[in-house]
Amino acid sequence: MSAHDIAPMTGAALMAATFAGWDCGPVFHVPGEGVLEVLDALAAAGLPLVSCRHEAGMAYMAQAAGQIRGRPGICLAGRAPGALNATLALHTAYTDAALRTLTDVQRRRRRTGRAPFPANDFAQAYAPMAKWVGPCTAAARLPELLSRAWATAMTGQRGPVVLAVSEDVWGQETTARPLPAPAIPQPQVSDREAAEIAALVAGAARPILIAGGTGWSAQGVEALAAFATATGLPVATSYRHRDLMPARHPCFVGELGIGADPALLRAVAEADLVIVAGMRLGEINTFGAAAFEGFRLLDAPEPAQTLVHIHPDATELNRVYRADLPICAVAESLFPPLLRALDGRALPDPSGWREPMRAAREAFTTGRTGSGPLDMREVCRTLRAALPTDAVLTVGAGAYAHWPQRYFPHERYGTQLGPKSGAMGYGLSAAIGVQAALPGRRVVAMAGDGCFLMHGEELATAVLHRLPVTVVVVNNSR
Amino acid sequence: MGATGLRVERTEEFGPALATALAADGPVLIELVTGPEALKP
Repeated sequence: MSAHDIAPMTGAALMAATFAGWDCGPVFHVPGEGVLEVLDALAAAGLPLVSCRHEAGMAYMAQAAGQIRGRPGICLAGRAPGALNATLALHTAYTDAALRTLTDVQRRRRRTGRAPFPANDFAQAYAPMAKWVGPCTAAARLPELLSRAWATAMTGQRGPVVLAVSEDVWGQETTARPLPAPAIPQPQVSDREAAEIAALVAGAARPILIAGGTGWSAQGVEALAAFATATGLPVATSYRHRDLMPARHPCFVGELGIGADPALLRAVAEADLVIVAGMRLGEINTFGAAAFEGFRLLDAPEPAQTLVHIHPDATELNRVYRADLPICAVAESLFPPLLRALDGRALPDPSGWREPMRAAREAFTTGRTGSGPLDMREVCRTLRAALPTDAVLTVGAGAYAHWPQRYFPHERYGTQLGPKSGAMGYGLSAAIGVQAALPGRRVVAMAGDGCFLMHGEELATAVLHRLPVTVVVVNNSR
Repeated sequence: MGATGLRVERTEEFGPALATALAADGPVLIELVTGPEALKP
């Protein structure tokens, strides 16, 4: 069939058909000039639309929806002034390795360079906080550019991408057709690499595994727990990823980052083998502890511990900390070959090393009663007891977040969302994003009074779309 | 905005407020009025 036999479709319809075919879930947007044509097309294609109050809230929602579904969340902002509101959320997604595709609409390209109103040089504005920013000025190139955006967001260290679409693209007719979502490379830990790790594990007296980052599947998280059960190795998680290990698992020893138990930080510093699976060795999980708690987990650039670092992005390996064994692979691909490599090997019993950590975890998450007429520890316990295990708890940033961090345990993966960048105002928007993406799920946001008011206007979005999120605001009267 | 708001000042009030929130079919905000001692654990 030649191109002449294909009925042309508009750029708006082509983008909508692509997103529908890629199971993109709800599309978050701030309605207005520049996106109206594509909103009509998305609605016609059957995609749920969530109309937001502000671009930052919108972008947080898309990021949370994407992260909880394991695929890019989509948001649409029209024109420069509003679109620039999304930068904080873009930065948060970038530092969190979270998925988000932001489509910004540009005025017509012919006015570029004439200080046009209301436009902006998006490539320059977003470059430091996006994995890729691409312009789209022709409907015929949408299949190529959307594929590139999706693949870039999903490959290696996951992160946000921005497609800046010229407004006239929506109405342009093209015979180009939607493509299926691109396949994403999944580099695997090899048997040879697994044998090297197995030798290190067999020779370690104080080994610890730290799991973190994004890109885990439900099966991968089960494999992590099964690995811990089989070997008895203590497992910690990175900051705000404690849902990677069931809190009740006898090998789970806690969460790193701000507010971590000093006993856990001491243990990591004393370990002789640290296996880091999927976590970016950034400040929040390493030096961040020094800034807030007086500890540094790893010496830069050469840690005292033997360091094995498994990360899907080669540029994250040996970036600050020299790894004795750097492995470019999807973190969860570690466990099957490592268990094979360990099979039949005599391993030192790690229980004498692990049990004090586990006891410290128990004390950290149960002790220290609150004071005053409203006890936050009891609030967290009441919340946990009332919610099903698959309920999602979101937080923003602030001292209040230490309460759920200590007293709200997670037993299932995909139930915890919080920014690692220190961005306030995230929790409510994230809860709305998750609730829109997973309508049957119970979703609770916890916020401080300051954090809540950063993007409290999105409560109107929850009302508009009848999204039954529960928002717990800790107002400490300061 | 049209959301339900509940105010909680004592520990024992939180459970009933949460039950109300979880039974609602729209968003509910529960304000916990605490003192500065509740800043963090």
